[in-house]
Amino acid sequence: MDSVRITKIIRDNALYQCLECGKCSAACPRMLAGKEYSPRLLAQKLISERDDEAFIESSVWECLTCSLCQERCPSGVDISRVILEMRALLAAEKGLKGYRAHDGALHSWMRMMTSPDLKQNRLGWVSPDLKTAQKGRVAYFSGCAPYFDVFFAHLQVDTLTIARDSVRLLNFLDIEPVLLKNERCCGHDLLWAGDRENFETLCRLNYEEFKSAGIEEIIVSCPECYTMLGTHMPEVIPGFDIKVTLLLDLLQKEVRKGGKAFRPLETTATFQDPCRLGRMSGCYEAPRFLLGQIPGLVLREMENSGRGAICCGNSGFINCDAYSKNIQVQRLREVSATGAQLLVTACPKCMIHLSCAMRDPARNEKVEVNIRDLTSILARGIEWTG
Amino acid sequence: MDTRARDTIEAVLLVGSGYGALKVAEDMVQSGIPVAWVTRSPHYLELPEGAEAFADWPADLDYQFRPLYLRVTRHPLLTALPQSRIVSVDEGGKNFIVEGEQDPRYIDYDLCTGCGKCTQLCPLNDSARPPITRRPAQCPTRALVLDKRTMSACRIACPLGVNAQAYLALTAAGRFEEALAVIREANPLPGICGRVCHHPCEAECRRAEVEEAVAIRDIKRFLADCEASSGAAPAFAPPAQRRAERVAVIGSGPAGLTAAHYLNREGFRVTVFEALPQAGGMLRAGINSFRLPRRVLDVEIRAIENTGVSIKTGTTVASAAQLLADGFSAVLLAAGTQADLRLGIPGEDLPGVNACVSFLRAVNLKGSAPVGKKTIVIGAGNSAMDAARTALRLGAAHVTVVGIEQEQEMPAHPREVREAREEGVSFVLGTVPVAFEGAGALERVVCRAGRWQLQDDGSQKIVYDSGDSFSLDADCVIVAIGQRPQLKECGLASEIATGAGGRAVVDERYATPVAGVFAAGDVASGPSTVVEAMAAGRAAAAGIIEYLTGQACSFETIPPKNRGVGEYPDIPESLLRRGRPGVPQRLPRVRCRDFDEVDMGLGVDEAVAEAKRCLQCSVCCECRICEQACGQISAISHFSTARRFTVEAPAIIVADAHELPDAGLLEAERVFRVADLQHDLMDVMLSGSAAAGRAMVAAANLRRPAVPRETDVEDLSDEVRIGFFLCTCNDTLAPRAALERVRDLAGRVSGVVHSELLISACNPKGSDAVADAMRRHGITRVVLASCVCCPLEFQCISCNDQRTRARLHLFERLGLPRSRFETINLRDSLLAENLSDDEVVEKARDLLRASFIRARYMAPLMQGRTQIGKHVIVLGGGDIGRSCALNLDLQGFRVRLVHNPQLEAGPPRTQHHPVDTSGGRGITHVDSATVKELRGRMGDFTIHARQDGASRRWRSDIVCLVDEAVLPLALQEDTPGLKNLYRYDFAFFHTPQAGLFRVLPHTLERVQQFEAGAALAAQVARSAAEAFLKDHLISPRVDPQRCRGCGRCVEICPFNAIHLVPGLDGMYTAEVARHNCVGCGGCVGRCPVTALDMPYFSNQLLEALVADALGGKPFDEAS
Repeated sequence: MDSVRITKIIRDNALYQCLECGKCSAACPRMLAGKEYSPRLLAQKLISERDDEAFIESSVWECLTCSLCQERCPSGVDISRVILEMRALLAAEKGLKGYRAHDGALHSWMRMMTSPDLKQNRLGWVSPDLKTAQKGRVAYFSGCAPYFDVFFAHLQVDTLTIARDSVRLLNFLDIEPVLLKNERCCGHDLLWAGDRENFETLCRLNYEEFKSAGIEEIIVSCPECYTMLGTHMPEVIPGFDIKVTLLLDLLQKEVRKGGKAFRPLETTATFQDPCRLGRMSGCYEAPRFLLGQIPGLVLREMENSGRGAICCGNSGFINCDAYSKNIQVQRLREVSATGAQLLVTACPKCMIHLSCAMRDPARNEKVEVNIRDLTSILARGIEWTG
Repeated sequence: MDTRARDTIEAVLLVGSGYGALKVAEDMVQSGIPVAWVTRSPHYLELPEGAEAFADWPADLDYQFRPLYLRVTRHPLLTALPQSRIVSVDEGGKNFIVEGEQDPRYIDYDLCTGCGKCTQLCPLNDSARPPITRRPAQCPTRALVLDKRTMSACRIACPLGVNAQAYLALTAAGRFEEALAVIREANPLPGICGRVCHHPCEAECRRAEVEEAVAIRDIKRFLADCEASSGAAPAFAPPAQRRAERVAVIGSGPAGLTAAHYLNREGFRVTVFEALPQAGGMLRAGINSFRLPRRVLDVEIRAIENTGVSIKTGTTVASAAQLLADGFSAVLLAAGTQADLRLGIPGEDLPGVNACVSFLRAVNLKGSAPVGKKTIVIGAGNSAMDAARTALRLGAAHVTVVGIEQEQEMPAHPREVREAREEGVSFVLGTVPVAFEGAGALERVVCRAGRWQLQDDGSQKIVYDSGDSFSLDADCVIVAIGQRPQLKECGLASEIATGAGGRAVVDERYATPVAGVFAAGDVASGPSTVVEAMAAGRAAAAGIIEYLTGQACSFETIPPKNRGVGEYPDIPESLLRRGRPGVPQRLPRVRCRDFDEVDMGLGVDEAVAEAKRCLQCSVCCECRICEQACGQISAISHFSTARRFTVEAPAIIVADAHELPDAGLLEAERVFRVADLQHDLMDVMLSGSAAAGRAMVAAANLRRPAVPRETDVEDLSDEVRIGFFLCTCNDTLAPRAALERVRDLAGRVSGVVHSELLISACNPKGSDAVADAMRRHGITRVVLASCVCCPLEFQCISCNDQRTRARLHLFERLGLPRSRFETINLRDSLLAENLSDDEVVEKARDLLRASFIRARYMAPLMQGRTQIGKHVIVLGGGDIGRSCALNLDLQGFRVRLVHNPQLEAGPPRTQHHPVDTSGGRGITHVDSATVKELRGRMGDFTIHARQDGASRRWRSDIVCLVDEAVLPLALQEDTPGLKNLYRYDFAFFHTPQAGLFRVLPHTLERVQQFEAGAALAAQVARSAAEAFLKDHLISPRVDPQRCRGCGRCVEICPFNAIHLVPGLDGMYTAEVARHNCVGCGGCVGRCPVTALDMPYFSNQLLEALVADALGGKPFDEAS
């Protein structure tokens, strides 16, 4: 392994400030699920025992990148970023072999999207009631929703409903967004799988698509897309000059302006904070504020929520196994403990992973709960009060 | 019948075909007991006589039986004897001694690739009754069956044995050259015989039963004329090898020419001596040109000369001894009968009284002979007709034939008589000439009315009807009453013994008493016909060859007896009546003035139409063109004979009583019956199993332990040296040029060291070629493109006999390593469509791409073996449990029989069986026990039970649940996929857990309990004997690091081969039970986390395949 680069990664992300307190490992959901995996030990190996390549390699791919360790770290080490850069390094040196879930099929799709000649039929989901514009300065980024619905049909995860509801909400706000027919994947899963080269290609192709359509602002509903477009894409594209807006932030701002209200929904709900939304984008308040606007809806927080929320068990389709399932079952037990009838989340991946665990043929306890995306709940009942 | 080929087999005898019989055979051979399966049917799925159909059969039933059929019929312990009959059964001794006979199998089932080339070339393929067929359509083989009945009567009637049926068939198909070749094989003079043969074949023609015999001779003439008009000269293949011996033939008539031809064909140097200035003997001197044009004669004699026979004309031989002294190794005297017989009546020496032979010879050789105004021909044979008609043509005003015989008795062919009469010859019959009168020259013939009378000694004598005489005016008489040899005149009589009529005396091989001197034809037999003389000449040639070589020789390769199977098919009632065509002839008043040919012969359309009238009596016409088509496959032999066999059987199982020689045998001990058809297939199968179970007891000492060939795991890390083999399916797959391009294309792929076209992969010659090339070229990986889909030891519903056979040859007979073979079914893709050469190459290229990539990423296969022991626990002591236990005890199993088992939480018992411990020395009886737990797998089950208050732990290799109370120990019947498992395996006692059997209440409604017990015992014996053959490397492995424990694999597996094993922290990991796993791979595809992987076809391999294929390998890098 390229020791010079590792040193740079460590320095850039403050790993030398590690106090070896072990809070990261104590908080790690994967470790708590029983997996022999320790971020603290990884830090130690990276700093002083780099010849233990096998350990480093397996640990780097083990991490869920949920950033809970980082939340707990008293020294402010950006552990997820260390993992991200280490994965890029390992992938470049030892090949792309980190991903395991679905045999890398989703990553293959994403890589196929790096072809400039790709012709997609990605707007088939746009229903007639949606008002969209052919040209304009605001675009809505639908992300991988059209693909997920095909691949995860057996889980009945209706990701495209999120996209349709997002456009409905924008229409409600008198925004008729442009939908880009040759938009590509944001590259989140490739970047986190260490495939930096293809991630950057996706960034460039997307940026070209935005610019050629004259887009000045992109609205995203998916937290993963938001971190990519908002944080990582500007690192790749010099002079990135497009405003990236999270739909939830926009809604919060608009609802706060007044004149809008939600139809009542009599239910008890709890909220799963997606790690890309919460810990990575700092968006904890908007979902809670918006849910709070729905009359009749009682929000009950789980034992671990907000900054301390537990991951949905997997990220980037990388390391799904029995421990992931264990984490998911734990999380669903927390849901169950709140007595909530409805589990609300704001990331399609959370929806996929938790649904998968609920639908295990071999599950031996009842962990099923109605699960819906926040966007859909909001779109269902927003109305003008003016 | 060839009594030398008699096999003795020690095996259980199974009689009859059908599904019940198939089940019997399966249970017996898979339990290790050899079976001889005898049935009259050509295949094993024909239902027993009288049965029409089972109710509610799925339409695809025969396809479902395919794997079973293949597994059984290709099992090493099965002796398959289809198309066989039992002749006798001796019940006296320890074993039944069964004598049987198998019909000749003209197409070898073990060699036929089913390429269908023979059917394409068979002249009768488009007829109403094609001789070569594939039957039944659903049978899992492509092999063909040839229907050859008793030899056709026309062919038997022909002295030369010319295969009239075959040349008629070929003529009907418009294939004239091949038809003529069929004639020439047995008759070197078709043009001559097509005109002058007396065609005894037509006399036997069965078509005469409908209206008239087929005009066989006219068709023969048509074929010869057809060749002549095409300008082609007839030609014979030169002898393969020349021999040193010289043979002299005296006489160039039909006997001499034929003998010369056949001697020459065998390589002898033949010189023919002819006294007359031109060759042909009686063909030329005795037969007129208006019947046999000289050009026809010349052409056919020249053809024989051109093949190497030397004919010395104008040479009279005076001494055979001198010829032998001159260096000839043998002499054949075939001088014919050149001297005319005399009437021996007054006035026979008067001028104007001529003799027939000398008269005709003068006309035919010198061009003329004297005739009078009023010419009388004496005699009523064919020569007399010739003489009479010749006299007319020479200018005689009146020609009268005087014969003793009446109209219907005349020896001349009626056609000759009719033609003579048409030309103006008048007949005075029933008349005997008694004197010739005249003053210095003939003026009248004195006659009396008379007739022949048969004497007690068999001779004929003339008797006169009255004392009156009358005269017929004549200035010329030709006496045509017969001929005799002229041996005395030419001096040969002093050397050769002569008998009656001055004929040469010969034995049955045509040898005269003088060593090396033979005689044949009219000189030995007296005047006969052309074809009889030719037959004698050929037979004499055989005698000479035997004499010279000391080896038996016969040109008649086809003795009619024992040829073919079965009678001629009935003449269809719907047959259209249509008489034979009249042969066009020149007008009598025109033709009688010249010597040009009278008959015009048939035209093409007439000849073809006439040939189509042939009934093709023996179905297969034996033209043997199929043998040539089959080529190197050499699966067809028209000379196969019936085979006798003996089975020494400790037991007999009868699936069809109609096939027994004596129904009384059913009453004998150790004869078991598969029950008559009842309601459905399962009943029949169950009954088959029951019969098998009972027979196993009688035949237990024949059981051989199944010891599969165990192979080491191949080390595939060696150098990749690929051999490419493309099966051409006997050149029927695609045009050879296209396949050669594919071969060359493959040869350029990197890593390929050898590329070859195979005649056939399922023929031993093909597999030998693969093995040979592997050795010679150091091939470590084989890409075999044929119809074989996989190299596994496995049959699925798309398998067939040829695919199975190819693998048996490669992997069992030759022992080549399976894991080094990549097989691709190219045949199904290339054969079905009508592709151009370019399309064939492109398509093959696409299909082969993955194969060549695959060849670089081969994974090992291994034959594993798990020995199953002989301990059986039977839970349930009702009739069925006791029957099963007793049966297994007699077969040598160690049985623990729990008479009254129950479960702790089960429903209360309804009945308590009395414990009967009377039978079975090896049975451990347990009165009652409570089963607490059953776990384990086949070969290693453990039952925890409480018996009399004490805890017991019983080990067992196999467990049978035959009591309703313990059925919950087996999985419920609605386990997903189980229905299909039963459907394909017809496994009525099976549970998804191999080695765990159960009897459902509704099974007991089907058959008698005792029978069901025997059937269950048969299944147990099968499981115990089936040492575990399955290749373990096709079962998936679980990576516990990756397994999510989600259970989706368990959900999809139809064979209950995956379980979740609990681990720490409430987590589960999948585990594959390889006993149950068939390697279908469903779970691998279903796993969301790639935790399952099949070593033989790994995910890594799949990835590499895709990557290489998308990367354009391997063809692009080769070019």
